Amino acid sequence: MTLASVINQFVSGLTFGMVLFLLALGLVLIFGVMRVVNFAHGSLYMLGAFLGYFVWEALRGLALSFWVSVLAAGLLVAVLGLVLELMLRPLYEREHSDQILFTYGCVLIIGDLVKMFWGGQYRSMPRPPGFGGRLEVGGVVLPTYYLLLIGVGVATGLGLWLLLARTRLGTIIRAAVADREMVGILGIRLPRLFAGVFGIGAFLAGAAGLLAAPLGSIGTGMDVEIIVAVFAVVIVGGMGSFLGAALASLIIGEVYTFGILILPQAAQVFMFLVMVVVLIVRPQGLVTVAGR
Amino acid sequence: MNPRAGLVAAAVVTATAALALPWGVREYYVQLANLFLIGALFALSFNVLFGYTGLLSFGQATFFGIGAYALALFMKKAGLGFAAAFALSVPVTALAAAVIGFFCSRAVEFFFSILTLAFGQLLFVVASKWYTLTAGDDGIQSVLPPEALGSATRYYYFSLAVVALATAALWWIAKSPFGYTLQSIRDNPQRSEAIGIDVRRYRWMAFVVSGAFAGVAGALFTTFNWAVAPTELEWTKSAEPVVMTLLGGPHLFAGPVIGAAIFTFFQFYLGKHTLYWALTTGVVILLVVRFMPGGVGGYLARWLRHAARR
Repeated sequence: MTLASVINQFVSGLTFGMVLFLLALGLVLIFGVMRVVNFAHGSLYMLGAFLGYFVWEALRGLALSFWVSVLAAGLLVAVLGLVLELMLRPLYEREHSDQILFTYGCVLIIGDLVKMFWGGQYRSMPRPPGFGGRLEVGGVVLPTYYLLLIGVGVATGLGLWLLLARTRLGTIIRAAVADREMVGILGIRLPRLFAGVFGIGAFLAGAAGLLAAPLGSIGTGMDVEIIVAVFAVVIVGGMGSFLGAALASLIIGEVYTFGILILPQAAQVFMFLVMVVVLIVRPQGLVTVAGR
Repeated sequence: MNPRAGLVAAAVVTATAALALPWGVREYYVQLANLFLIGALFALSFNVLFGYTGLLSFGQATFFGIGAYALALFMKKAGLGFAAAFALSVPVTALAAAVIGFFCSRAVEFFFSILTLAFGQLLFVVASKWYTLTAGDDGIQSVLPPEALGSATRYYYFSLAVVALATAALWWIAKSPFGYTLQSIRDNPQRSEAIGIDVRRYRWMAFVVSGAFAGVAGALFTTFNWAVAPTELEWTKSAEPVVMTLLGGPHLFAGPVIGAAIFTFFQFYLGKHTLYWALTTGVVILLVVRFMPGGVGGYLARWLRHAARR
């Protein structure tokens, strides 16, 4: 393997890592504020891919149709996320297992509905105009769409960091992560906060679904495939921190992508190896938040 | 009638009905009853973790599948007879559960659920891609039971004996000091740790017990079905014991059995090959969690307690 091909592979790993990052962000955000692990996060991702694809098909030929459909995928899935959150509400006072079971039931339902309506055939999404080509730098071939996705990932990470660190909403979210009862006592409307957080997470998942579509194809089964990878990310990175999610997304993305070179049929195996090692050495994840 | 006598009477009636069943109904229903028995054992094994230890596994099919594949491989690849293959597939599954459980039992609550789902997916990928061993998506075909168990009725009696024995063993485990230790861990892990229970080790042991019994159910399934395919390891298969147990009630020993009966009835009623089985399962999970926590068994237990007080 030449250095150039290593760099190529590294960049595609980074790209996949960014997709994982967009999903892990939502998962960690929802978990941090609501203490609910959203098993249906991969299903929202899959829905984003399908819904966005149909919007794109309807707008075919228009300028910016790709970008409109990314936005539409995010917004449509965010609306569904709000509905799910509304259905989840009666279960907040129950045991954790009831909430997990609720989101698990949603995985089964969404997976089968997608199969029912759009199953059978795979759909492929072309790269958006302007990002179909590749850059060549000294033997290293970099598809511009990969660079775009990396940029989107970094921008989203920075944007969310700014939101959390610099805005009033961010302060409330951070306070809720630390102690949501206290935030409620201080007069913040928790139901609205929960809905907002679930909506943001769902938006990111839906948009990620369409953004990732040009990398592979859209089809049934992508829900569980991606959620297992995202779970590997949160186990490696630790459930409580955005920094951990970022770091682990890159690790898992790279491990998976380089794993394809060694075992093309079952590159997931390497993801599991990393996960297992982390579980033994640092069961709390790579990055932990002080005081928890 | 006092409730205890009622329970004994119910048990006698059930046993008689189970033994007499093949004389009363068509072969199709004998097959259905067999499927119920396998499902009941599968769900009971799941409930060792969920109802008794407080760990929600989304990967129970992993061990059902390992048991199912182990039997098929011992018979088809190693050329062993049915009895030897069956006897060997259980320790093999227990061993696999010990390895996977070593990692999973390090996590609790949602992390446990995540890990069991993830490991299940890993095994599924391995089973569907490792062509030379498992024949991939095609699965291993024509794994026939021995001639002595060749008819639907004979195989039914074999399943009945195995499931009855396994259920007795699980009952004994549930009522043993080990079983009570698991329940104390479920109710309060911190306090259990404080009184000197090695919580992680007990969770691990519960995982192995649960996996081994799921393996028995899987092995029974292979020669019932005459074939095994990766779908037996798929995560949707793991949803079956979950929905059965929720329906029947996780806090009653017999809950998963009741749930398996309801589930099998639905399967028959909606048709085994209804395309949208996962959809139905998901909707039932949502409804039961929201409106009927405790399941049918919860109502039954309340009714029994009520009757006892009178």
